[in-house]
Amino acid sequence: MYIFEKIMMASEYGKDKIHNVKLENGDRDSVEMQPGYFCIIDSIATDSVYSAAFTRATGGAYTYKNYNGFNAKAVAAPLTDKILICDPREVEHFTVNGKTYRIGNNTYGNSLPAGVMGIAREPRLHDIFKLGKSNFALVGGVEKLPVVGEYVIPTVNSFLASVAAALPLTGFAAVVEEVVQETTGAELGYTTYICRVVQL
Amino acid sequence: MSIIAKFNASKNNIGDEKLKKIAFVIDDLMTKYLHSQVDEKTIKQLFGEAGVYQTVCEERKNDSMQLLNNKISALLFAKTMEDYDPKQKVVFNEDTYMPDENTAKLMKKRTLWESPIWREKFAVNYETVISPAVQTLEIGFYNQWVQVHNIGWGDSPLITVEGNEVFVVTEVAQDSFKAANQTLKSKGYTAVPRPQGAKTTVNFYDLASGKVNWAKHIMAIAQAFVRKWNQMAIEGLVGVINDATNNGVTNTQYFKITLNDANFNALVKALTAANDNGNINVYGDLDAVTQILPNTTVPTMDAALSTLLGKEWTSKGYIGEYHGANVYKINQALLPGTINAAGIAPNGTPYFAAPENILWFTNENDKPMHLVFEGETLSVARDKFETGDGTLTFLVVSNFDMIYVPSTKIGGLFI
Repeated sequence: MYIFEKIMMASEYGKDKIHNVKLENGDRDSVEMQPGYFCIIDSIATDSVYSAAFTRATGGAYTYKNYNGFNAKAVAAPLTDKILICDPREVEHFTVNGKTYRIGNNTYGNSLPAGVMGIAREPRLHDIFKLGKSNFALVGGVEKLPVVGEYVIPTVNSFLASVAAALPLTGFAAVVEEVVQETTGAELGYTTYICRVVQL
Repeated sequence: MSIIAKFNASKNNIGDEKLKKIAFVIDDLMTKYLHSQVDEKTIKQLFGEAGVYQTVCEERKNDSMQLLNNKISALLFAKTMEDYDPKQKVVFNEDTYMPDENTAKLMKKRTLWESPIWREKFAVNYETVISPAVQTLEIGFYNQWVQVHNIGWGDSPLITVEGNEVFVVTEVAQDSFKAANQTLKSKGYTAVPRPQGAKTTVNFYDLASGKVNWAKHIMAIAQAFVRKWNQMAIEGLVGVINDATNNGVTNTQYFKITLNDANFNALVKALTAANDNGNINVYGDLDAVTQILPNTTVPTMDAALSTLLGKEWTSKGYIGEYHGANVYKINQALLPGTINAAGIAPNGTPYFAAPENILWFTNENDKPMHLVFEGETLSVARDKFETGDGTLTFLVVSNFDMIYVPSTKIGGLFI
């Protein structure tokens, strides 16, 4: 499960560390936002409704900028990129035959559909947050999950995190403080990795 | 109760009597403002059925808009001060609602407006008193084009359209009581409201000196949302006609790519037959509806104009009825940021919100667009206030979605 949960983060107290972002892939197509995705800001977001209106009115392709937020993409240079961590607000939902039904009030583990703006947090040194198992990239097709003391770092061309045994010289890194089995309802739910930012 | 009346009546539910009074004063101010800006027929058409914005209460009917603005500023400031520091007395003239010298100094005190506690209390009161008016105006100016739904937080609105085919009656044998199965299939549509909003500003100096034009401020917020909904509806409908005609290339039963009598009649007949309703309305930009004439070739329309059609066509720019359909002109709006632009070269064509080359055919009372609100229709974000540049900013947000639900057939025609 993709999980992101803030435990102690500067962005909880300062809106300057929160951004509205829409995720895009390398072809600039919108992609869904999972909790805990790492991303980097690429350009100012666009408003699709007014872009269509201006395109029609001007007779040529027109991008109407939405200065409320940004388009973001996967990390390109893990050692130097300033990353954001996605924290979308969404309740459980499913889509069948083109109809989307919201089926509950659980706010964890839910993705935002492609093209929808979500929150992304700028991490600060000493921030503490949780990630889930699905947030870590496979290595050779095999699950590679961190243990306590290992480091969580961005992955090139991916929204997922990777595991490093040692602290890299530069770039974002968070140390895994604890591995926790979360309770959901009255039973064991999912595994989370509590991370503390040690390098930006 | 209509949704407009419901939103307007929400001011009756304001628990605090002083805030409730301010909301009622705002109601009267907006009534006067609307009657000064919009023609009576339009006000009656938009708000008459709900019975709102028709008359001003007896107590305030002789008050000028300036006085009502002063009253709102004074009452809002006084109530907020009562919440913030009950020991601090403020005094306003009973007739003019202008502050006395001490109160005026207090209103201009920068440290007051920079206090987060003061700003929080002001924002709560601001949101409470303006929300009924903003919501009413938003929906009122928009009600004619869409059906409006309000759902609770996290709910899923399901709009179900019953099948519009009919059962086919054919012969059976005497006493067999056996026939083939037929089903009419309904279809559901869901909307997923998402937050959209804008940061509005109030000039700090105007607020501190009691000069805020509340009517314009409230109208500006309402219009911001109406403009966005208009555009969503327009793009939704343009998408429908483009998909149907392969971007203006192919004629279909309900969408045509050329204006002539044959196509116009075909659409009127098809929609009447499909919807079991002969009241067809045609909407379009002035440049589009002006071309609906007996002879659509401009150089030879002298013959049409020389008949009785000429007077109406000359005065309105279009004929109000044509081949069984009512014709209406859409009032255009300009796209944001282009009101003072030079337009598209070389002729400086304005950047209009609605396409100028499409006629829309609908049945009377048909509203194919559905606007779905989630939770309260308007909220003011209070956790971040700015006073750095002489303005107070309020983030006004609403969760909504607009979807096209074809419950009856609509038609379109490219000019």
